[in-house]
Parts: sequence; C-alpha cells; structure tokens
Amino acid sequence: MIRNATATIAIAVLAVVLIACDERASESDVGDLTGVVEPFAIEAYQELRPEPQIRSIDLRIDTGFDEREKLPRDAISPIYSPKYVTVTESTLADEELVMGIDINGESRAMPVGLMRFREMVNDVIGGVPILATW
Amino acid sequence: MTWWDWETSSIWSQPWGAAISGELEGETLVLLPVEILRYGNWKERHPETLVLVDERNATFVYGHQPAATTFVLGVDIGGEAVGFYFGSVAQEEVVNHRVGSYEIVAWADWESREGHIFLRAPRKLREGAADAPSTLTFSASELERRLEDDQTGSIWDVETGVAVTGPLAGNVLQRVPFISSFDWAWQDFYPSTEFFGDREDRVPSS
Repeated sequence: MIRNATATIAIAVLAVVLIACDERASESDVGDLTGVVEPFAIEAYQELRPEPQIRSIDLRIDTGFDEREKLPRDAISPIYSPKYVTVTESTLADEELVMGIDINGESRAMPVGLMRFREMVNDVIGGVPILATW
Repeated sequence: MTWWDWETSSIWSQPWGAAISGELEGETLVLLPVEILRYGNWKERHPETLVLVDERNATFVYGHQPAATTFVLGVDIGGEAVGFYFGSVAQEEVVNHRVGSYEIVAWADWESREGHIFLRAPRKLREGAADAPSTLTFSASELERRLEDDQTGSIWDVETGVAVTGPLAGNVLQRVPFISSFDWAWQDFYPSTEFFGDREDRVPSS
C-alpha cells in the first residue's frame, strides 16, 4: 500500500516535471523576452500620422500674430547643446516629473521643471535627431 | 506655442509638429513616443538614463506637477483625434478604444503618472512566435504592469508592448505616440476631437 502510494506520488511528480518541461519548451521557442524591446523604426510612427490634421490658419487673423510684436529669437532660451549627468550624479528628487525618452536603447530624462523654462531641447538620441518640447 | 527654425525661419506649430508659415509650410515632423512620469519610476526601469541639466548643472526644482484632471493623452492617428482623460484611463487602468482606423489600447497609472498606448494589432517580434488574431482585446492582468489579452490569455508588458508569456509570447504591439496636454489646448488644435472619459475622473489616493 505504502509502496503504491509512493509510486503514485512519483508518477504525479514526474507528470508535473513533464508539464513544466513542456511549458519551458514552448516558451523557449521565442527565447527569453525579459527587457526585450522592438527595434526603433521611424517609419512605424510616420505611417500612423501620414498627414497631421492641420487647420488652415492665418497667423495674423486667427492668433493675433503681429510681426512687430514677435519675440526675438532665443527670448525663451532653447537648449542647443544639451548637458547630461548620470543617475548617480543627478540630484533630481524621485517625485519630480520627467519626460522619459528611449531611442535605440539610449535613454534620457528631461525634468519637466527645466523644460518649463527652456521649452525646447535639440538633441540626437540613439542616432535620431530630435526636438523635445514642453 | 510656435517655433522658428534657424535654417529657413519658417514658423512651426508645436501640437501639430508642422510648419504653418514660411518656406517649409506644410512640412511635418514625426511625432515620437515620450513618457511623462516620475523620475524615480523612470530611473528604476532605465538605470542607464542620462538626466538633463542646464548650463550650471542645475535641474530647476519645480515641485510636483499638479495632478490636473483636465490633462489628456492626445492621440492623432489615422485621420482622427481622441483626447483620453488621464484620470479616466487610470481609473479603468486598461481602455480598449478606436482612433480613426486604428484599434488601440491605453493604460495609465495614477501614482506614477505613467501612460502607454499601443495598437491592438500584434505582429511577430521573434521568429517562432505564434500567429496572432488581427485584433486583440485587453484587460488588466493580476500581475503588476502587465496586460492580458482576452483571446489567448497571453501576458503583455505595458511598457514595451511585448507579449512576455503565454501562447502569443514573442509578439509585439506597435507603440502609439501621444501628446500630454490640457484638454482645452488639445481641443483648440483639434476642434473635432472626441474625448474619452471625464475631466472629473481621478483615482482616490490610497
């Protein structure tokens, strides 16, 4: 009786191991997917928005834009040559909001507090020339 | 907001990402995905991230971004625009919706202020991945930061859009870029926009 019970448990354990192996086999068909991201392809984003919905706009009439009143260039000082620090060097508090960007495995955090003052950052991230704006 | 470019002095519109006046009028830039979230959450997932500082190595401390309920995730794809109230998406956690000709899924987390939007049409990322239905429907998984599709029960990562386990493992969802904007600003630039949810929606703090 005891021997039978042991045999049953052994079979049960074997079955579990087999099922476990089976699951592992089906998962390993596609390999480990931890942290896997799709390679960056600008075309994918281009396709989504082939023609933005731009209203025909007369700057002068629709927005009261006046050539004589326009801000001189760099009145709001954009960032042309961005400077970065590492996570270890950064004094930014964890609660602060950032714009998080990742292109081709290169990551940038642009603090919203800084973006509110500078509004525009010209940069190249992961080989892609970008403009970050707030 | 509008911008100048140094090369041609054309005037560009920020929400449209297009030149609206000058030599480059009608030219558009490609909108790329960006996340607005708490720095702590970002650096946890991207420990190698670089952090922008100004010329004096300073990051202006602005304090907490008020959790504005009028804040939308603005999507302009396939010829239509939808503004998803952040609080409404966070309340439901997962929203299956349609924008123009595209079926999309939106996910948002109130605490981290993080949001992600993907097309619901999977494609194969890895060789050997199973054929997937052309459109999936998602719900929140019991696992944190994971979605589950109703059709196969596969588990998807909310940040990368990759099916990490289950029958569809190795498939991926295309990310949909969006603009984080106040609802009135979004409506101003997209007068025919639909809104999802309500500006009063929010997730009570626990």
